[in-house]
Amino acid sequence: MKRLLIGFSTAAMLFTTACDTPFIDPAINIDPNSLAEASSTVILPVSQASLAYVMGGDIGRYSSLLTQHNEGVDRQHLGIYNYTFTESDVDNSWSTMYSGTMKDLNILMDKADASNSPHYKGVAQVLFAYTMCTVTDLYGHVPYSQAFKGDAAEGRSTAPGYDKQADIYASLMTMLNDAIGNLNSATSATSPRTDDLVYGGNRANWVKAAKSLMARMSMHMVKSGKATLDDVITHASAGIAANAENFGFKFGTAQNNANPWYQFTTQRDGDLAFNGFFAKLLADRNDPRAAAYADSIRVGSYLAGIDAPVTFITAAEVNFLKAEAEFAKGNKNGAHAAYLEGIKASCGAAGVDAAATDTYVKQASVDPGADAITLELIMTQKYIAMYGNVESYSDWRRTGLPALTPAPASGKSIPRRWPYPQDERVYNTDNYEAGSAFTDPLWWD
Amino acid sequence: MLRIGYVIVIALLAIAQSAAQDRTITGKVSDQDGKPVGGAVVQGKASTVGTFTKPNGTYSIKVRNTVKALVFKLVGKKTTEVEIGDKTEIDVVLKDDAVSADEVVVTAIGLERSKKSLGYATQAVDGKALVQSRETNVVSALSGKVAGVQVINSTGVPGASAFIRIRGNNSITGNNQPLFVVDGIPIDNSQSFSGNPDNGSNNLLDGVAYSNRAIDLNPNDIEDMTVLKGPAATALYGIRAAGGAIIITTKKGRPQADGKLNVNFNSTMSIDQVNRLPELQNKYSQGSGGAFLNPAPGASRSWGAAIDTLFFDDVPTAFDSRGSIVGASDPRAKTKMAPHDNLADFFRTGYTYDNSVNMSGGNENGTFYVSFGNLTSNGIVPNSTWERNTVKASGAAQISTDLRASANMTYVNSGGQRIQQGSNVSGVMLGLLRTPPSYDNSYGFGADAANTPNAYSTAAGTQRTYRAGVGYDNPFWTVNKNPFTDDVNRLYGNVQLDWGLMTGVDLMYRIGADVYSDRRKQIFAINSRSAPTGRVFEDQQFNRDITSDLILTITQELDEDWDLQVLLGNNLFSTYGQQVFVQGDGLGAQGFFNLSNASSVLARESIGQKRTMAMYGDVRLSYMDALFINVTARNEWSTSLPENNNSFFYPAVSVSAVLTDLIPELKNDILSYMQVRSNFAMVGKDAPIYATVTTYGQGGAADGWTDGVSFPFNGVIGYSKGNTLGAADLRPEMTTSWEVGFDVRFLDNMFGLDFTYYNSLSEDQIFSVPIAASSGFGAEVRNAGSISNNGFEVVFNASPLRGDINWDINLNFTQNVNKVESLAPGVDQIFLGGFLGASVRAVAGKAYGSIYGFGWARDSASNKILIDDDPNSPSYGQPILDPEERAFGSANPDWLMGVRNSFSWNGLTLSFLFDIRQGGYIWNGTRSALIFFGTAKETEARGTTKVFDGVKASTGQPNDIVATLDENWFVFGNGNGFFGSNSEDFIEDASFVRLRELTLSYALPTDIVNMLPIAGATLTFTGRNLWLSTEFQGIDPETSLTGASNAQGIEYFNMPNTKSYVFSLSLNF
Repeated sequence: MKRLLIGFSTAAMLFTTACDTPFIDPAINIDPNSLAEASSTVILPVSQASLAYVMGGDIGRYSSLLTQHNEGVDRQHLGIYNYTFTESDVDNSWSTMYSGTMKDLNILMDKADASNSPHYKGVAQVLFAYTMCTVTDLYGHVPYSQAFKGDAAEGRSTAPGYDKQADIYASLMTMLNDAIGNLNSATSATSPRTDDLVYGGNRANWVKAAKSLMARMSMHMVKSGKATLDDVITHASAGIAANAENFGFKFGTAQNNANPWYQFTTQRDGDLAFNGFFAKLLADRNDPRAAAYADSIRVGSYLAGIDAPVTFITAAEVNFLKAEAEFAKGNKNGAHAAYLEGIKASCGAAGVDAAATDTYVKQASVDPGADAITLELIMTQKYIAMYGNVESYSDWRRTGLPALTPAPASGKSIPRRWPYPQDERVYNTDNYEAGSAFTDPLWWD
Repeated sequence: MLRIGYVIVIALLAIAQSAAQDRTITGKVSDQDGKPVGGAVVQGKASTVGTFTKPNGTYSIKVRNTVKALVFKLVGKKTTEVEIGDKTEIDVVLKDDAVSADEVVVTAIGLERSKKSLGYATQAVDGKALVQSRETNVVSALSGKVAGVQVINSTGVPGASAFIRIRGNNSITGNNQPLFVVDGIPIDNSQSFSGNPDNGSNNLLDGVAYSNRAIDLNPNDIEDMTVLKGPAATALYGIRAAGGAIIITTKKGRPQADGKLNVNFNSTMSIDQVNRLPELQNKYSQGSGGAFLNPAPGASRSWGAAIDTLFFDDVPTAFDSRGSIVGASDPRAKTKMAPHDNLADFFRTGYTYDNSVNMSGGNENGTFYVSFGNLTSNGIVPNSTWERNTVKASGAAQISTDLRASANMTYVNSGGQRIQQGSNVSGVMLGLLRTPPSYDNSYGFGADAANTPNAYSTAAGTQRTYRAGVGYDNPFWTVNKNPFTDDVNRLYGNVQLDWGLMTGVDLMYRIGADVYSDRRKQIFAINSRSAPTGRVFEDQQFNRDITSDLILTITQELDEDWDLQVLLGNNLFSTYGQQVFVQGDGLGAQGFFNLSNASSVLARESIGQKRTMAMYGDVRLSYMDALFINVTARNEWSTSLPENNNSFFYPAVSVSAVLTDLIPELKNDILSYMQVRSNFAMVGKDAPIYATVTTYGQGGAADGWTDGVSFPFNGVIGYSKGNTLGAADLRPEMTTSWEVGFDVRFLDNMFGLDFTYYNSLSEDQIFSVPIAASSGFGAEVRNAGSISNNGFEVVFNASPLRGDINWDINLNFTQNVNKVESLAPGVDQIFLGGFLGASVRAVAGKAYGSIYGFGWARDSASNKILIDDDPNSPSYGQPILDPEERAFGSANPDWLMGVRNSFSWNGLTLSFLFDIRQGGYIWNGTRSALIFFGTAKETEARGTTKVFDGVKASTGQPNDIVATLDENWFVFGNGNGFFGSNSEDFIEDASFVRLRELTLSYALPTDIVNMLPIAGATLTFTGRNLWLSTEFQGIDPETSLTGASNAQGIEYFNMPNTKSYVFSLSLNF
């Protein structure tokens, strides 16, 4: 009996020790499906693609229902069109931006600092500022200074506090200035090249994108007095000047690289339609962009071509910002010139040739001349130019233009902000800004 | 390397073996009527080796001098022990054991134990009872047969999975199903889903009904099954059996006289029909606002004109063979419209054929068993098929008196063609149930449409659908154009050596493997709604599990009254899985479904690997064969835990006392047997693999609406930091449980009652705790949370009639109360599965799997529903929706009961099994959507008025506002529960009472058999699910969209369930 026990114990020990590698080898638990560490070159393109997909996806689509660029005609989108817009509808876009795009951009910034690569940092900062600005423009006060610290070695936080929108704006403006400095830096250990799916490493364009975003943000802040109309004009003048410089992301012709509007219209056909109000706006002016904007009642190739770009800020928008600012300053000639530039840029982006654009612009309904220019004309043309862009929602909230009639079946007024996501209510209960009603205006509104 | 270790140990032990003298004993075994008993086991007491009696009852066994007694065993007979003394010939009479007190059950690691010695509840299911239910899936066959066990079938289509859980859920996000063990070797019972892996578990909501892998078992090969319910019973299996264990023993050969071959042939045909469908309206046409709309504009809903006001112009169009639809006053009006029954056209009668043959035989030196089985099923949904071929061989050789070798090997080929279902625009039920009664999906071809391409597609290759090609697939299109096929090749088996080293000392070594590949292919033809540009994917999965057991058993008689058995074991387990998924999109040539025809290709590879090791001991003390004390201890190591924390230990203690043996005075004419038992046990559990660090995963973006984009993007590689934070400080989960029970039998075992109460608490659960996404991460893996279960199990057996007519009653009752005690600090609920606005979650303080969704706003004081009393509001007079989601009931039943009555008279047997589920809820998403679409029966009430029960929102006064139930309420208001609208009204009671099985069988009498060249014949009719009573307003509530997953309680365009008429013939030669 004793010998047996000894034998058995010896055997047991053999299993654990006699092998070159133990049976319970810790290497077994090293994940062979993912990378332990990744370089900036592989992180940057994902941050850009995820941002573009959400801007042309939930963010662009839902806001196009609120601005009545599009109409929800069936299933869930019919509900959202009628403002039954719930906390669970926005979870996806919120988490894509916070735990996807912006987390990755933060990692890029840290890596750029560590490797002394200001060019990477500048690019990441511009993308980050754009994303964060979009988030705060939809929700108001949001996590910012304490965000992205889920894995921080120091000050780790899994339930970040909220920052005031005014403070976020101030901080983002600083960040953009810093970004321009970084982008203009003479030296950088590494620089984005083909991994930059937005500008292919063209830093001059990144600077223009930064300036354009500063123009947009300044315009938002004019009402609060935190920025002036001159700020808007200064930034806009250094901003994107041609469609070739548009800040955006071009999708591919492969199905799994396809534009989000394309995917939605093909895979969820029948849920969304080109809006009657917007169609009439185009028809009343014989708008040559109509063919690109709409394919009968469907969203057209301008937004929903398989490889169509999702644009963040365009030359048209920059011109309209300038026009709006000049108009507010009383400079009708300056406003008029920028207004026409904006229309032309927009028509160009929609594939309308110069002749057709000229014919269109020559109509009195489009160009009544510098003296007759109005804010309504500027904002209406901007609304037409900004089809599918979330900024139209901010424009409407700022100016009330174009005048929209709430969806008749809803019996409600158009929301002035989005509901906070359910994930924040449930997992960030102490910090989440409860009770903000759909109708409460934002800080800049 | 390890194998060398085993060789060394066996060599060492061989040295330890001392020579001993043998003696031969012969004799004859007969039953109480004096007839010879063949096939009985004859063993030396306290040794594992033995022999079987021949058909004439004789045996001859060689045993060592030190063996004191022989033990004779046979199922259905009382185990009998005879002292050897100096006898060389021993004849024995084995008495019948109707309700067996000495029932032998197979427990953990294949140990046979007498039931009375167990300090925990077990329940055995005879192979005959399994076969009799004629279920394809061995899991489904357990329905209603075992207390403490709940089985939920996913759907009635061929090859669909069934979910099983024992004593409730004890893991928050981990596996809650029991371990399946075949002949001592655990086999894989996972259900894996297909689809782009980037979409994660969303793939469970669409796609097809997948199989759980235990479906590969051929029920005809199963001798019996034992259900081990709690941690005390499964202590020797450790972490893998944290959800209990199903111990399956397959059929083996038995020694036959003169090498006679035993041949059994079994043939079964089953006729399957849909048992329940949602009720649809047949009064209103496609359209909205009471106006008819033709298919061309793509109107999705059935809120058009009354059908009896509409006419056809009799000029066929591309979408309707009956012509365009016009009003009565239209001059083109020709034929008056009648509602079309699209359901009747679509579903068909399914047929399942199951043929199996087995041969077995052997002599004292060895036995064998070989079998072949084929099951072919053509389902109720056109073109749905599933087939299973099994080949099994097993054998045992008595190499010497002390050494016995045995092996089992089964090859399985299974798979079929599966049809799109669920939340999937190509899903059959989605397109079918939403079709307006004014439209004919079959284009006039009726039931032939499934075989007639012209019925569902145009010459141009586009679809004929009620929405003119947008929206959803025509169900006839999808069953032809979007098939999913799977092909599983599986080999599992084991080799076992039993070695009697010396009297009372046995060594067993067993190594087994379960290896399979599952090759799946999905096709979406061009113009299918799920992938309009066409898609094909190949999903190749491979799984390999290897288990090794080395067990040393020492049996020692301490004195007259006390016996001791000590068991020492080592267990090694290694699992390796690989998935290669390649999806091609944007097909070029029509009808050519090869990856080379795709304009873009997405490829994903995933490997999962884990090893565990355990050392364990088990000490059993028995006193006068009436009091049993059992202590087990197990130490386990797992690679999935952090290296410095990967070892954990857990003990179990159980006691059983047969009071009627210990205190013979208790026994009287009424009380014939009484056993009490109790146990305390702990069981640990390791972490999910790769959970200790945060890594970078392949990049991509998706939004739940669309397929999304994936990397490589235009040739650029991309990675993104994972959304879930790993944790380097994980420690094992621990479940602590205790159990008490008794088994009493009355009137000479005529009535038996077995009662168990159990209580368990699982703590330190490891799961992905959700955190605010604004932290940069969606979840972090950590130890948090606990979940408790307690409940009763009652098994009642009775044999009120014995004699010419036998009447047996078997009742199983289960009540389990489950509670998620806590989750993580700051986290009171987590998502398990489902949709936005209707999901299944674990919510702290509530039962696991709460259905979570939107409900009505309520008055805080009276809890009455608030009614909108603003006359200017479009929802005037209607209930107000609470904008925040909340938890409603769960799918967990209050109790379950299965009652079987069987009568037998001569060769005739009649038995019926009623299965009752009381309580539990299901979100009826189908009904909610069909109200929106206007095809649900209840939308026939359109235009009627109602005063909603509740109080006025502004005044709190009882509501008296008369609201009209119009399209504005059902579609645009909250009258439907379609996403984001009210879920509360669609969370329905899923209770049911059903006639699960009705069996009538007839065994040919011996005098007729004797005239035929056969040894026996049995004819059986089985009716399955013939009758169902439920308040649930949809398909059979015993279905589940997510199949064998933790998110139970979702009904969203699931495939329906079936009822079956089964005829079978069994022949013995």
